[in-house]
Amino acid sequence: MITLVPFFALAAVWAIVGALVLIALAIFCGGTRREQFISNIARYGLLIAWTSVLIASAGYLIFGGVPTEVASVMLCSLSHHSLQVQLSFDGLAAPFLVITYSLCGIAAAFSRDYLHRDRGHGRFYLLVMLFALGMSIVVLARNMATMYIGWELIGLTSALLISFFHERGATRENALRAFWAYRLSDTSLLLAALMLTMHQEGGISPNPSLDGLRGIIIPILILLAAMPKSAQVPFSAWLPRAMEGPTPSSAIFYGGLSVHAGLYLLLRSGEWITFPVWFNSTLCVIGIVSAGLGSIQASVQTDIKGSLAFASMSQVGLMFIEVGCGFYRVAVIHFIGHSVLRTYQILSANSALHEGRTRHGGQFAADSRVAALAYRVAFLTSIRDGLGPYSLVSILERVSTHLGRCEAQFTATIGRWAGRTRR
Amino acid sequence: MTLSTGSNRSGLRDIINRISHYLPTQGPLDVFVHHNTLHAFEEYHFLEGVEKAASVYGARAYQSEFSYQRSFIGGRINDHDLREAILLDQPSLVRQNEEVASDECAIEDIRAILLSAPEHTTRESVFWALLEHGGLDHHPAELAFPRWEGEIARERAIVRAMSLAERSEYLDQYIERHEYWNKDDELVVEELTKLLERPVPDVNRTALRMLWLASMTDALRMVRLETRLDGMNADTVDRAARELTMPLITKLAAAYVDDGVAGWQLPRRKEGFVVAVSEVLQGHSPLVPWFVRGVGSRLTRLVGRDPLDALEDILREEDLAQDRWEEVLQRELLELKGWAGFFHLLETRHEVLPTSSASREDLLIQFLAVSMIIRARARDVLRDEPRAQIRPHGVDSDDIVNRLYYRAFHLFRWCQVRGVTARTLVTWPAWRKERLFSLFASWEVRRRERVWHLAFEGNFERRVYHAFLAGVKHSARPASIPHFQIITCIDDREESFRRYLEEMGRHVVTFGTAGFFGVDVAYQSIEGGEAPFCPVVIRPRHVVVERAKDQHLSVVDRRLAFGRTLIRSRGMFDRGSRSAMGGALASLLGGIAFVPMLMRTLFPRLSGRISGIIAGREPLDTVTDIVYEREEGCQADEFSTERLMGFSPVEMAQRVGGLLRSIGLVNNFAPIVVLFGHGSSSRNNPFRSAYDCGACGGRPGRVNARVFALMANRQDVRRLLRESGIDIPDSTHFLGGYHDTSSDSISYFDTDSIPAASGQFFEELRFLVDEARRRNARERCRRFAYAPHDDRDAALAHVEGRTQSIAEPRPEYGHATNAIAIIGPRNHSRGVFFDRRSFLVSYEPSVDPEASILTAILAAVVPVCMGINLEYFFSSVDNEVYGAGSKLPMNIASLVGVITGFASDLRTGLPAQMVEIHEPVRLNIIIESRLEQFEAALGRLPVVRGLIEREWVKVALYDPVDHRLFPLIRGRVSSAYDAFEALVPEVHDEESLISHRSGNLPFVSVHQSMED
Repeated sequence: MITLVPFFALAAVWAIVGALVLIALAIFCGGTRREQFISNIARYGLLIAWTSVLIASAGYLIFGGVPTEVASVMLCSLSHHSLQVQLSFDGLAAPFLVITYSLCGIAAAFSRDYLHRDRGHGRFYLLVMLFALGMSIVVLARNMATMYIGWELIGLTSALLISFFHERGATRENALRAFWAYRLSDTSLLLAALMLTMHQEGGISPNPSLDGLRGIIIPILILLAAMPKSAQVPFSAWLPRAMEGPTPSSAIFYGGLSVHAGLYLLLRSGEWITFPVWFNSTLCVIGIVSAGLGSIQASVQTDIKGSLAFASMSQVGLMFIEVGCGFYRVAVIHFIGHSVLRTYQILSANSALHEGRTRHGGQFAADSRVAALAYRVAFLTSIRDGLGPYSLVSILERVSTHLGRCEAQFTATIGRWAGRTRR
Repeated sequence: MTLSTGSNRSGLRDIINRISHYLPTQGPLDVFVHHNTLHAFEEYHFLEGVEKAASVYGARAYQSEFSYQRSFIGGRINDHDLREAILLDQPSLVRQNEEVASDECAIEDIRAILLSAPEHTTRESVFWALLEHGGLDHHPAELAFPRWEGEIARERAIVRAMSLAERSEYLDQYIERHEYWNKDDELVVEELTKLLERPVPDVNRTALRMLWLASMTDALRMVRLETRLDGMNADTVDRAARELTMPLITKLAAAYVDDGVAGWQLPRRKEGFVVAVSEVLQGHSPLVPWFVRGVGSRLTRLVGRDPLDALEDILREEDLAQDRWEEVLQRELLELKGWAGFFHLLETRHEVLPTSSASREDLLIQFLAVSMIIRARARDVLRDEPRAQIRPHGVDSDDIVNRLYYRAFHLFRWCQVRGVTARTLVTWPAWRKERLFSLFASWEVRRRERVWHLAFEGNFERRVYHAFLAGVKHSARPASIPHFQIITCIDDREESFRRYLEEMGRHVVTFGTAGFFGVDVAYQSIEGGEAPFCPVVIRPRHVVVERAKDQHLSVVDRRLAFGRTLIRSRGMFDRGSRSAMGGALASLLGGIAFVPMLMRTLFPRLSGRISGIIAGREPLDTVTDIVYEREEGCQADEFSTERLMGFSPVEMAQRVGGLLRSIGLVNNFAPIVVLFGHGSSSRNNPFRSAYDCGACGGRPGRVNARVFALMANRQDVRRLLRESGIDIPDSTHFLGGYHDTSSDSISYFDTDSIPAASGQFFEELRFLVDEARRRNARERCRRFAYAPHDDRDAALAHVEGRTQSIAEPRPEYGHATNAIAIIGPRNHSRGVFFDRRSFLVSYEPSVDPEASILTAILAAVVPVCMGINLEYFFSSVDNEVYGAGSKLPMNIASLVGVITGFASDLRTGLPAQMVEIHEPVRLNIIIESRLEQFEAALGRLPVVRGLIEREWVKVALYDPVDHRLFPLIRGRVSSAYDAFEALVPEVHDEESLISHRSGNLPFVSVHQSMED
């Protein structure tokens, strides 16, 4: 029954895809019972996926814990290199996948009432399912190119969910910050994937050692891919601003799943590449800085969700340290506990007023000079924009706005022409 | 002319005092008190106040025209209402002489203006409606244009008789290529030419196109006639500066008043806002945000100076003429009115956040000064910074072009409604067109919305009067020997509960009174803390204390200790999980959080049961006592304000007697008299207190009901009452109870002290109440999606689950749909289905010749109910400016309120999820009283009189002797309401009415199953 594991792992992915398609159809067709249909499809789809993954994990454990290939699709093949989409299930993927479907499932159940009567109800579910698909691909990916597909999906759905209430100007601005951070991450991962593929003959078997320039660039690219996703310093300005979206999406993304994607990338690519020593020490340094700064930043936040966001960031920093020191199992256990805890905390963030902690007492008065300095640093860095008029991002934004204007005119002309000929 | 600094200062302070009246007065969110959002405008008439406020706050004054038009199409507003409203707005149209014909015409014209007002306000959207949406091919399906059809028939004959040459000549009359002519206009002309070239042209389409061209020509003339409206055309740099600095200012403000979210306090907040902010933004450190680079030096200049002087300096630096100061300061202050309002509250009321270490002196002025400096600095930086990313917020076309096309489109639609084709339009004489243009000009958007709103309210008002009169006509006399008398709060949610109780039989009688039952106490609960449980305008002097019963001392101690440990450890865990090391430890155990997360989302009812079991099976009330009495002889000075422990028997008798007289229950007592206080429960809901009893100051009315019952059962109190004329027989037992309006759960207090003789009645009561609450849950469930229909037990289980779910933003709908208040004997409204929209106050005018009871009732009821009504009104009319927006991105800030998303102004008012089913209409109060008594009562209440005269609430008097209803217009009685043949439908029971219907229902009479 070696085929048990891949069958159920693939079934999970197909369940998500199927649910996604049905939801998209439901949104397109409309109808009065649409809301109920969509939330039911999402919940049951995730339930099926979750059950499948549990069975697959059980099978994996019972049958000796051998990584098994789940699916393999050849995208393109040149003379010496090929690009394959490969999914495989192993001991690292199992916990991540189970947690993914659990948290997404709870978010889907949560959102049935929470998003009820909201104009974007269907859109929300579509994006969450797309995210679940993206996470599944990332977790099951067997090479970096496959991982990139899922990585993009995660980034896209993230940005779209942050800008869920797009009528508000501030929301759109904050969503853009997150989007730019994700673009940096996506681009780095893409470059790393391409370089790895080019480097490897056949593109499948991982080559443990990289030499020369590649040995420096590829790890840096991986770092640049992991850091913005996991909101590590200095790419952390977007995280508190990501709390613009609805609570359930904030919870599963920035408490549970998306923010740990960087961690997963490190864990997984550690199996494909042997990281040089300087890489591990850099990880530790980044982790220490993020954990420390994040901790103080969390202590100066005056809103609950912001405080939880920074706490999340600081814990992921600790996980980076664990990876840097080679404690991979510890990192996974840390991830499991942290993602569940943080998701629950963000989901019930609004209970702080009536059911939460006691008022007064426990507030540390930052009176001494050192403490006041620390407060200032934490406060100002936590609200920093990440951008400014001279940043690369601003320049790119201006270029894209200009292009956008040209495009809008072009589209308007085409539209008018089409409208005219239709009559 | 230069003024001395002294008078400048006092002038400035006056300005600040004036503009601070516009700030919201919502305190910390853990106690939500409904009040009139526009309380600063109460000195104006309602309509005037609403419109003034709209311009001050940049909000909507009424609902959108479009929604009123939809209401008209849907039948919610009919022609009669519209006509009445037009006449109300322009009384000059009602004239009794020969100009009647032209006035009818004028009313028709105005009606057409209202119905045809388009929602498209820019040229692009107008052309979209015309070209893409078929505006030139047919008219909107919903509005029937019968006149147009008639005209088209005539037109058809004429056009088809014309030759081709005649047709193109005919066309040329209509085309005037004006200076704003563009491709879309050309397109219309081309199409029209092609249509006319056909041998048998489609006359409707031709006529519509020609009408459009004619409308354009006329609109040009109209637009040139109008004066340009002053738009709020904020400078782009100014707007960008505001948007960029908003997170900074709001986060600083939040840190200043933080009451427990952050682990670290803002440094130096004891020394004032200016000092604290300059401490954070000091120097030229690279950490200071780029758009306020260098603001630190300007702020340090403020430190140590008198804030008023500093403010004056700022105004002078901005180069502003002194007569513009007030306007500028008002705009700056109201930019972040939520936080500014909270700061103002901190400054003026010391009971708000009593333990906060933040300094309160001159707080509002400091806030104003700091925010003005920060914004000014941002403006300077953005202006000097050539590459600053300032996104323009322009409109697609010029303002005047948009107005032109809007007018043309309006005229286009208007002609269709009135049945005026282009041919007729061009033949109109100039004076007729001038009159039409001036009509259009005088009936601009605000006025149209106002008339629509009056029609909207007028329709509702008529239905209420009809329902009330039907209720009076069918009023049944209750059974001569009542078995149960049930006293509840006047709350509109209790209306359905009382209705179901009364349906059990005529031996059940209910009363409504303010939910604190006259028991104004400061209550010290055994869990700790003291809070007032009475209306906010009363400062309670009497303290009652909860303490454990002797035999249950250990149990109570254990449970309290457990509760305290639980809270403390949860707080520690929560706080600790945010630090690095603590978080790591918490993550080890973190997986356990999966259980409550799963349970509270998917199985809320079960998780509620489990929490209950963990906390302790019986509620704490059953094992505790309340100490509420003071020994005889300690007679308190009536006029001092010092606090007293409990009540003396004389005071108790005063309260018990006062309440009983007020509701008219002075004889014929039933064996059991129950008082139900009410409150609400929900999880993960910052607005929980908004569902509690308003009469108890935003708290549940448990202790009030309990204490009243204890007082009324005492022999010494009954003796005193007998002496004053209220003879309560020994067989009558008073019982205190609690109705949770979210979960529809009922509990009773002190059931062990029910005498044996009343035991049987109590059992019967339990059964009745249980059935009533089931039906109540069923009726409530019709509003909820995913709630079971038809099954009462399932409905009860459903509403219980709603209160325990962390995912439910609508645990109940609270006061949503509230619209009516009836003050009078219950049997006059008994049996009428008011759809949970009415406050019901029991009042017996026959025992109140001096109108003293009416005075007390009006003094309490009018402000409280009006506050609730207007809070819901404004939060639903404009949920973004007056209300708190959607709950979905809400984030608790500083433990005092909520913000939206990452950073925003402190949100005040009600969230969208609480007002989404609310229909914004003013409160209709029907008072059963003779005019003289009413006038006497109002004479003693100048504030209430003012509110009624300025129509913030609408009042009608029902004369119990004449049996006629007199609506008050601006506080004056004019004529009796003529109900003509208005019929109120009758149904057998609610089930047929409410089954599978979730919207607002008509008011009907319900045949009660009579048991004699």
